[in-house]
Amino acid sequence: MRLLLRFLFIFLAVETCAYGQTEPSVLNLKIKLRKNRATIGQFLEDIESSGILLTYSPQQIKLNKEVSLTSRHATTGQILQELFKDDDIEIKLLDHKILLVAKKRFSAIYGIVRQQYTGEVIADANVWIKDTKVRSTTNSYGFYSIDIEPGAYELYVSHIGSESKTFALQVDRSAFRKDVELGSADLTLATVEIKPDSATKNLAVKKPEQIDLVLTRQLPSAIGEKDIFGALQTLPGVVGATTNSVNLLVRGGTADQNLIIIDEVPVYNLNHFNGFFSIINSEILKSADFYSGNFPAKYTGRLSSVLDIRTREGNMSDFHGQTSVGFFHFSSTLEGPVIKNKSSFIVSMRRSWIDLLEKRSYEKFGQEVEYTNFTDLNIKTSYILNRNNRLYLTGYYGRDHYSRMFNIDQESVIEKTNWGNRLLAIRWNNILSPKLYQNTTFTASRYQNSLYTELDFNNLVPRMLISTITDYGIKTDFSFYLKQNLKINYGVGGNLNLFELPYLLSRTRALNTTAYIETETSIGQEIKLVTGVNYANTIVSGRIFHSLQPRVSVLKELGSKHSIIGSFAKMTQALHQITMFGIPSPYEIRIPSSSATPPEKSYIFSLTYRYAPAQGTNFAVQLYQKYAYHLLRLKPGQQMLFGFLAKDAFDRFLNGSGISKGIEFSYKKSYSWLDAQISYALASSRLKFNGLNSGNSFPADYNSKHTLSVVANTQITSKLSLSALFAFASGQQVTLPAILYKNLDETLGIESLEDNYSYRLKDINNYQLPNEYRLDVGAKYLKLLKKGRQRIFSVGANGLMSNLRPAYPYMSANTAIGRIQIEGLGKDGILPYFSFGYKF
Amino acid sequence: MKNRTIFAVFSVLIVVNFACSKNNPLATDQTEKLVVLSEINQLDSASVNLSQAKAGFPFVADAEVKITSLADRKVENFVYQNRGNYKGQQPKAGFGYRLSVFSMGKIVEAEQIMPQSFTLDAVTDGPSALKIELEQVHAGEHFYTIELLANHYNVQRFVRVNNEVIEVASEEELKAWLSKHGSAKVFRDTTFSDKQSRLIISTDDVRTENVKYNELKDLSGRIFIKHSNTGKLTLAMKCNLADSSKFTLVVKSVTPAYFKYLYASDLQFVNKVFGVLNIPLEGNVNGALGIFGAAYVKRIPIKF
Repeated sequence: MRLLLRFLFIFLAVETCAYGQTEPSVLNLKIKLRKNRATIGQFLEDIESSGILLTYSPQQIKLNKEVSLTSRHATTGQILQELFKDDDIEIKLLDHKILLVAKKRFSAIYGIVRQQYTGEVIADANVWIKDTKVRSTTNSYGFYSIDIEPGAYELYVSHIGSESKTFALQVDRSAFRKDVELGSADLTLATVEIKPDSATKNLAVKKPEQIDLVLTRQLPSAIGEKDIFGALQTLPGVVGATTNSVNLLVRGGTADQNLIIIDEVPVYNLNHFNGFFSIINSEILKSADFYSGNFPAKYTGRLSSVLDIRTREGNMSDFHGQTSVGFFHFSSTLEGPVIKNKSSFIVSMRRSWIDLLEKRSYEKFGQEVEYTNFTDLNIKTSYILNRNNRLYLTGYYGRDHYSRMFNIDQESVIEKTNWGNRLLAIRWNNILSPKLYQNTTFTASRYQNSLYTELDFNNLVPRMLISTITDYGIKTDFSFYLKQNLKINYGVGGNLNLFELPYLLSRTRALNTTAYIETETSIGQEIKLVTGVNYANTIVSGRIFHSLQPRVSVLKELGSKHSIIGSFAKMTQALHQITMFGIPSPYEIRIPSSSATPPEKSYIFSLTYRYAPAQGTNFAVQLYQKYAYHLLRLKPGQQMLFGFLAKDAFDRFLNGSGISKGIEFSYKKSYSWLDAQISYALASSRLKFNGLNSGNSFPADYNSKHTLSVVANTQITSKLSLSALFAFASGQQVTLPAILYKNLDETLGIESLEDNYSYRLKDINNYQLPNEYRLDVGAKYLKLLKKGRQRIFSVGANGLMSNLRPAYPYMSANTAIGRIQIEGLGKDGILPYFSFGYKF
Repeated sequence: MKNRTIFAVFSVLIVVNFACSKNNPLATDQTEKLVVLSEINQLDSASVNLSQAKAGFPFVADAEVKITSLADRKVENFVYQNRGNYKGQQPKAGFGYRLSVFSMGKIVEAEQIMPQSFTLDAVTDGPSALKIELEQVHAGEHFYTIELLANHYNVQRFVRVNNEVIEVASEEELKAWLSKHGSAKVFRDTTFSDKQSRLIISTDDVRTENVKYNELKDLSGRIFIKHSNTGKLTLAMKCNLADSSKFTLVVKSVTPAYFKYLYASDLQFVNKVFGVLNIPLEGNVNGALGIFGAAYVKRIPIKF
């Protein structure tokens, strides 16, 4: 950090010196005018008679306009500025000559880009003025605005997955609205990939974080459910918290350091089916942006990554739908107009059905019965109030249930766990002017998990445990297209978190407010500079935590194929998660910041090189370094399972820091018969906590030194495609005793329980569990029917070869042989899947 | 076709290369590290147990063990008993001692000052509750551990059915037998084993470390409390009683290092239940593992 500041200081000092040495110009020459009231033409003659060369076009200057000057004695520059203060005349200097030229006038071309058949707005569409360097992209709501001089142009609009279109425009001095509809070969966004054209490819270089939804649908999937988190885990440096889990670990961070938002609503837990797949229904997915560095200023609240998901609004003109059924669950989606071309809806639901067949039993092993199910429902509707205003309503309800019935002493005992999210967003898009766009959103999010147990652990665990987090928020964002090459994004927001916690932890609340501003500007044609700052504060129990988070990113294009992006971001996290297991349970709780748990913060530096030599080929390498402070860790002995949490928060946690660094590679290549993608990351992540490991640093729990994913998808025929995914990650770090020795009790004459021993630790996280890997394969057969209807058969298998990360490695020692045993490791076997879908 | 072949071979090589890792759980350090386990108190002969920190915990029988009084430099050699146990004289409260062990070619040492005396009174407060009162006349911070020990019957209760002797584990099982077999005869031994087991006791007293950290609140066999003042300290606790036992309340005023060791040791025990082995345990013997602890001990028989 000091080095960076020193560099900035030197840079500014050099710039200042250079500026100070500028030579005096003719504009600084003092002249004397004949009188102080005359026409502009007479004043210009006076200046020319002083030996100063003036060049101007008489048509652009009102020579007969009479003006009064404040003084007859002044510099040329001062006189000219006063003469033209009310006119759009620009004063320029060229080789000791003064040029007086009319200022350029710009007009705004603006509008919304939509899908032609569905009416859905398209985010990140590319909008270019042909044969110029003027270009823009649509924002998340499909809005664009371009500043250009009056004239005749061709507007070129393109987007991945859509047909490009060109429009002839005659722009005069007033703003010009041009809404664009792009046709799509794939009405339901299901299976057909349209390759990006060269123009799209160039802009795509600047959006490296966008998740390839086509890939999401092609990958082999856990139990047949296509999931965006499967595609996310093919990115370098991103792994699952447990193998086959949707919980993400990004660049050595923990699962709670990822901000996941769906249509602006924060999601606090995204697990379905114990993490096999997420609550994100792929049928309603429109776009997803993922950031693990280079964070835009609007995001705050998490240290490691941001996943911003947008859902579809539904078809504005026709009714469409799909239904599919697989081994474990079925899903159905229906979308269409409420009022044609004015209002639309989309409804999608999923439900596990296997439990319905066998009288609520999912697995039976002897006397033990396990039962699990899930349900979720997505609803979204939109309404176009007028050309400039549109309303959206997004709703989600999801619930998972897991229960276990078993016998103890011939008595039946039941355990039940429930968890689920409820989300609501009401959004208002408003085009305030051709250059100003506003989005205001009200959000509500609630996540609750509960455990009911009839087990009597000597009254250690209450019969019912409930943990809830509720979040009410409101925010408004503006996109201001101030002028060509200068866009300003800014906004404010606030949200209230309510926490209901189990055990002795009291209910609490936190009020968070944020404000941000960000400028996007171009320096020349090849450098794009984005600078911004986010201010966030959190008020908990009368205490305020402030945070100012600067963000900078610079993109430099090196010709048409190469680019380099450098970025810096500071992020803070005022919400802390404590968890025992990777799966949702009441042992997973969230607490706000406090004196004992100040907001965590991170500083992330990254440098990316991208190379896109040809259509369908993309190579990227990224270096990063992340410093994290105020990280929280439960003290040894403190744990959630039986509520072993100290009364005083200071006695619960250790406060520490971390450093992560790495290099990430990704390579994509598309042949006519094969799409392949390889990602690899070499990384190191270490933590340091006072009071732990003698204050020395140690490997982070999820320090995956190597992560590798290889994806291949091949189109065998027009109907049949095959896909395969191989994923590898270095094993998880765990703490194991270095030395086992005798317990004191025997010396004291106390009868020891069997194998009661003491142990000495050497280092924290001193042992790496075996490397994890898995190979998944899948096949898809698509049959096109009349009127665009489709039948889709999918079949595949997860874990053809596998060594999976354990959800909970249980350790014990065998003192007779002096070895530590770890249970929960190893292969989970092959999990086949099958699904049949029908779309209309 | 050539591209396809290259791709297929490349993919197989990658998969095979990475998939060949082995699951090999950690073997602990098996070098010959000496373990010294000792508690000295004013009631019992000083005892030291020596063993090695390797598989099977082999005991050390050929060591020289001596204790030196820090007050008068008087040295006393311990006598080897059996199974790595060495015995010495009874120490005195308030005096400092240095333990020296010569074994495996090196000397390891530790020092402790015997805590000062205190008085103890205890009354039962219901069928499984106990109230104790400690009185301390010495200034300074005092570290107490409280435990309830049980001596079990040498022979557990049994029933004889048709001349067949059948042991029963609990009172409930006994009643079940009697209800099923009216002719069964009940026998009960009244002699107690010398071996003691520690019973689970708990308290809600916020001054205790058990409640403060909430880690050893309900599962622990010891209550840990620090007390800075002279005068009386009263404490209520609940006991998880095993039936048909002889109970002894043991309260120890211990040194800070010993207090810390016992707390961490109990924490290790509790966390083992959850398969977690990450609790640091620090001893005070230079050059060896284990603890040389000093305590002023009070023992009171308890009848519930």
